[in-house]
Amino acid sequence: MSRLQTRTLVVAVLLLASISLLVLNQTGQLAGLKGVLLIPLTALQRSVAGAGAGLGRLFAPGGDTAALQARIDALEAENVQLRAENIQLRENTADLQLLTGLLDYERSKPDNRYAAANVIGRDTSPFLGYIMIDLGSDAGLARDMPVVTEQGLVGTIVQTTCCASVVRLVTDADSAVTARLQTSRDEGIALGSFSGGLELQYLSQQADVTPGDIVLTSGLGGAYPEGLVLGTVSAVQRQDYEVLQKAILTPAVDFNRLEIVLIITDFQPVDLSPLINTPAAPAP
Amino acid sequence: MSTYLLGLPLLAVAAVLQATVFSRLHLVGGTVDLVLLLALSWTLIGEWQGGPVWGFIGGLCLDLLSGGPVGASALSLVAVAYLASLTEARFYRSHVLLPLATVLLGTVLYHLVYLTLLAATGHTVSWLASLSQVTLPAVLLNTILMLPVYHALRWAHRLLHPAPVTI
Repeated sequence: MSRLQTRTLVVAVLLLASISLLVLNQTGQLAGLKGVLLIPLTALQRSVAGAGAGLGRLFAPGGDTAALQARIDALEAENVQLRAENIQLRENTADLQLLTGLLDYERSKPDNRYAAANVIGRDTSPFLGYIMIDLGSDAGLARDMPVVTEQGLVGTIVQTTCCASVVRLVTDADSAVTARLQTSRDEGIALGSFSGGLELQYLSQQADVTPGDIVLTSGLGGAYPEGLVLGTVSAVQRQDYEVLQKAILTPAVDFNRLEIVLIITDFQPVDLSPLINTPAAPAP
Repeated sequence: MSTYLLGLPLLAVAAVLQATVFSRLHLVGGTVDLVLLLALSWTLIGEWQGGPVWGFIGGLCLDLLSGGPVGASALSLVAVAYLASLTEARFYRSHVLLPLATVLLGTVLYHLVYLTLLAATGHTVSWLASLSQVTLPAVLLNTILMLPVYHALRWAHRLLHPAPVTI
């Protein structure tokens, strides 16, 4: 057998192995193996992520510039916190104006429970919007749990292993979140886009939407809690001849600076699939 | 044997670096594909069979650290490294243009195969935006970094396989 034939055979075996992995992954039979293989990689990733943060500080500007930068950072952080508080207060006011009963229900709800996790990596593919965090099923995390920061909704957990989880960002092209405009209460769906932005689509032509409007999760569909901040409207795309309009959003969360996130561990997503798959009852 | 001795730790570290460091350093939407550079360089150094094996190992590490389908990067990198290995005995190996031309075509092919697999496994793929905002900048970044990576690996390869001394 010539060298080229041997090489072709080896490559054929490798391609076959890759295709088998793809098929096993699609059928969900790879979770256990992936969890085992991820343990050493996650440990390595955690230490590299820590070292990377230290390296970033090493290259920070020195002297007065550093003090000024620290002051700016502190003020920016305070600004973000105040804006988040402001948004929350306005949301509460809107809730009060809508239905007292809903507010009573909201008061009666137990507070959310959170788990804090470090972001230890981003997706290795630039085509995908996922991050990896350092908590997994051992810490009680599970698929579909919402992930937030004080700025707003980050995404949702899509995979967990014992000690790490993969979070799909709301800006991923496959992400869709039912959303509501805070002021007008009009509803749409916030879709992620390839460029890492958010678009509020399926808004009716009559919807009152203007740049600067705040967009929150609506809770419809049961996949996310209601009232989490998604972003603000930066532009509106409306054509008179179209049935729907859409808005371009500026995400509330700065996804390039995610370091620590909170996972809402007591949120129970509603599984609507049995309702959707139930065949219609025959007419009497 | 050096394919595994050097490859396994190096490719694992490269994949982790890609997830932690290089994913933050991007030009438009494109990032350096460090594992691709390593697999292509190892192939062009003369490890015609080891290159695709590096592609598989490195691709698997990338897939494990990604939310994408497991096997997609592995398959893409094996295919690209194999095509690069077909240059054996066709070109003068130490010509400076060979690694540069290989990484240019290799990056485009790697991204095309990967995007096809993403689309085939149900992910939303925006072809035009992907190719213009990610692939083109990645071609530029990979081409810039190819020669340092190639020469570093060639140096390591010489350490592992010293030329026999004839008296």
